[in-house]
Amino acid sequence: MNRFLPPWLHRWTGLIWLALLLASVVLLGQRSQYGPTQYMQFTMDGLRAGTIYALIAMGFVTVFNVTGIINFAQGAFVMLGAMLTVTVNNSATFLPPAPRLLLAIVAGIVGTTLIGLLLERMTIYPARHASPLTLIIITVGDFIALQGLALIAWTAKPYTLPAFTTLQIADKTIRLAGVVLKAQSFWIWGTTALVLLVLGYFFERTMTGKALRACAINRLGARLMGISVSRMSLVAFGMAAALGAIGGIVVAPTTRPTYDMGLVLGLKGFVAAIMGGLVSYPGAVLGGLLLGILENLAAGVTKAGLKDMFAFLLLIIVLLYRPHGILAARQETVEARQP
Amino acid sequence: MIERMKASPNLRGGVLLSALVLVLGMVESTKPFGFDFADLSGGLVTMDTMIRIGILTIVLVGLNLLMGYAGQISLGQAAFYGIGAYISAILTARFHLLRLPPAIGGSWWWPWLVMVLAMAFAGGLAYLIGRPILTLRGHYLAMATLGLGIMIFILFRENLGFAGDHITGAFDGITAIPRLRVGSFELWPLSRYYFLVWFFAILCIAIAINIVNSRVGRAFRAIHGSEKAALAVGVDIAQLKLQALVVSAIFASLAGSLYAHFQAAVSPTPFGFASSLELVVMSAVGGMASIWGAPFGVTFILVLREMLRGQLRELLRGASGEHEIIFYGLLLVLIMIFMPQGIVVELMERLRRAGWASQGPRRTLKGEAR
Amino acid sequence: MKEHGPHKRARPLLQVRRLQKSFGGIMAVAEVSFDIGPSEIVGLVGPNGAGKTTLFNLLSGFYPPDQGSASLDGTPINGLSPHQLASMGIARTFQSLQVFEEMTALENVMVGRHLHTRSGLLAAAFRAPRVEREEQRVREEALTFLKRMGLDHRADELARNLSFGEQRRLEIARALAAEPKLLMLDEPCAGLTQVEKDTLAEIIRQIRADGVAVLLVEHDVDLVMDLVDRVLVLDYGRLIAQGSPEQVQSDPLVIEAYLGTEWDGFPVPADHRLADE
Repeated sequence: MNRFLPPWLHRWTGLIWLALLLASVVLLGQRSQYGPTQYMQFTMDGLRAGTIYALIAMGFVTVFNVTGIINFAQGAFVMLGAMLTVTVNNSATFLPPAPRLLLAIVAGIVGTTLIGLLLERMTIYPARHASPLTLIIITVGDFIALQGLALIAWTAKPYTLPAFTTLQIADKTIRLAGVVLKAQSFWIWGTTALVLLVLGYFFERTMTGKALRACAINRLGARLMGISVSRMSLVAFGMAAALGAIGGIVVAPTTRPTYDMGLVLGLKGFVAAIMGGLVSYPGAVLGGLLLGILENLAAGVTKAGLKDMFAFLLLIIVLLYRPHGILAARQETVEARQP
Repeated sequence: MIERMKASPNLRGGVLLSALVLVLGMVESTKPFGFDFADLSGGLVTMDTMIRIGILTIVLVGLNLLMGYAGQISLGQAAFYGIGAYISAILTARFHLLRLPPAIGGSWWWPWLVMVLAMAFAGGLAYLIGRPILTLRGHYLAMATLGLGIMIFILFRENLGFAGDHITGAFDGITAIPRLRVGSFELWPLSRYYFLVWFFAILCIAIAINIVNSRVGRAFRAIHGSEKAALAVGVDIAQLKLQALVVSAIFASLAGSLYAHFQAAVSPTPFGFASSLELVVMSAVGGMASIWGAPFGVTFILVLREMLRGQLRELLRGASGEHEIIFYGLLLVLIMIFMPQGIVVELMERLRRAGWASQGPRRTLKGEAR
Repeated sequence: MKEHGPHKRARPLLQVRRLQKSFGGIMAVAEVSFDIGPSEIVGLVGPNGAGKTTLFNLLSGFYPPDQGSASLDGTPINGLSPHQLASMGIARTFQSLQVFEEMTALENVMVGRHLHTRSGLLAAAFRAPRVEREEQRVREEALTFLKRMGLDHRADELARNLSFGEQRRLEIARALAAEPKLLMLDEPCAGLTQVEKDTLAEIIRQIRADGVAVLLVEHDVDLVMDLVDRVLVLDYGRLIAQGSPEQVQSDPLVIEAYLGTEWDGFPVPADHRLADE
């Protein structure tokens, strides 16, 4: 896999690529005469987008850690979270805006989680002994089916969710040293920080959390200790759905939620997860942030429409040149999935 | 000939398919008793659809070689399809970009040459991409192919160009693509193009079957079965995976070129992720490790799509968008759970068990795979 | 490491010198050196975790060595990939039985002939006449290999439908079809009945008679001692003894490795061990 480079160069590949990338960005930026402010703007935008990717990535990590499956339907959870919230928010008009939004958010998360649980039982559990290829395709099918259902339920039109700060469509803007930020960005960062704290507590202090970690490390061992792997798989999917939903909900005010928003977000979340090694939460966060910043920088100095392309280019690069540390971790977890 | 047909189900299948194609084609061309092809299926399947089935069969046969036989996942196959289409489109409709005189650019043989060039390009690209990518396994390969497919789609979609002369035409794409001709004989209207497309489709099926039944085909299946064991007997799996990818890219490119000359216009939409997914669904339905399953899978999905569009339009009263995709999803899930080998193969097994088809394993006396 | 008896005079087929492999902090194979002659059966034994499978994987190219070298017939084979080693004459079977389940027994063995055939993609695609001839030849050759393993009556059966013992023999047939100089068998008798084991032992003797060297890993000590010309004993990655079965069995180091204590010299078969496997 990494036979193109001499071994000693290998440890530095990640950094070398990064350096090359940044150099090209600056060079390209010269054309439009970008100054530090513009770069800061790109970076901040990237941090905001990247946090969303981090949330989605954590959903991937959860499912992969426990079941060894890449849940292709993760993007659908993101979309469902946003759409359900929008619907409840638009329907519960008997409440004043603030509690209405709160109710909508809760409904969005709970609803998506339920769908995630249902998905696992109905489509993953029956095929749990199948080959990885089959399972991938099943999750692909799940994604398509969910997106199709969304199309029927919500049609193709774009919706809106009010910003959390103003409780209206228009959001408050904040200026920091020449960089323009929307208030929603802080909600995004705050929520992610909160999620990380909760997850940390969950995995360290609760039985279920520890059971999940056990499954991730060695499934057979976990089973021998009386942990029901199939129940853990269910929990994992539920958590992934919740994480995805949260990501979709906090980002909804900044875009216009549509039935097909899940695909690209899901893929980018996957890129972030891969960058973080697919097995670690902090890695996922780091990966997400890095992805957000890099894609924004690259698209900023070239064409905006190429943003997704850069994200996938990064995916390919990461897949091919994973640093040794991530490689070792992957081998360990793959070994752990034998029985 | 009859003896050979008795011994070889593949040859039987080939002759049958050719006969079927011929008959259906004749019906459309000559319109006996005044009714044409579409009437045969109650308006559901037109000659147009039959041509599309032929074109997609070519893509799918290549995809099955890659996924079903060599066991390598590709979620971005539509990109190669698109490359064939775009190269044919650009070089025939906008040949002035290459500073070619109309004597060459407008001649009858130029589009054919372009078709071959596109196939070479697609194959070469597959080789370059494949060398690093195919070292990945399972999920990682799936995601890499997905990412690559989308990257190429974005390249189609963005209005790229050199020196202000836009090449790919963004969402509007490229129009005014000439029809294919041989000398002065134009391969148009539909009834003629139909025969051209199916000629290529049957040719590709034959080639794929030959490959499957050969040393290379066995090596593919060995890789799919156990990479370790294949390595241990001397199979250069890296090289062979690459060959599978290149072949599938070449087939897809051919189909893309045929598509371009069929539509006379190309736009990015049919070459995106949705199409790659649709191809995977077709493959799953027809049987990933089955060459004969390919035309079946394509037919099934395309016909289903037409049916659903008709029904759903009534059901959902004017809703826009492609609702059939939800059925694709459901179908995919159900098939992978209950009939992972695809409908064709499962059906054959059940018929065999019920005593209707020939007994014995999936292999014939001559050891041919089906 | 104690060595018993004189070195083989004939030029060795396989020469291994100070081979070493560690994973993380664990030294799986440590400075292992030995020779294998062209027509001998060598047994590789040792307690679990001794590094036998790692050594196998090193010799068949699935792991690259950290240090050390190996050569086959004088040609260095360090760091070559498995398929390259196969073309040089090393074939192996797997402890975890890696038959191609969705292919027939005959096709499995035909894949074994991969290195002895040449038809490429293009020739196959257009069915050149020489491809047809080669197919026929390969088919017949494969059938003979199956016959030698007593499996020709199952030629058209899918590999996954064969019995466990048949699958083991199929794997050996496939490996032999590559016409190796050295055949490496990884626990070929695991899970077999006594009758099947005896049959297999006879087959292995026949392979030796055909001029192929055999290196085998086996836990069934009775079988190994009866079958092999020489024994290599591995413990914690080190070669602690090599020699004839009798010599090795009475080696106190060996006994200590297996039983953990000193014994009064009476060799005890490994099956009677109390320790955890």
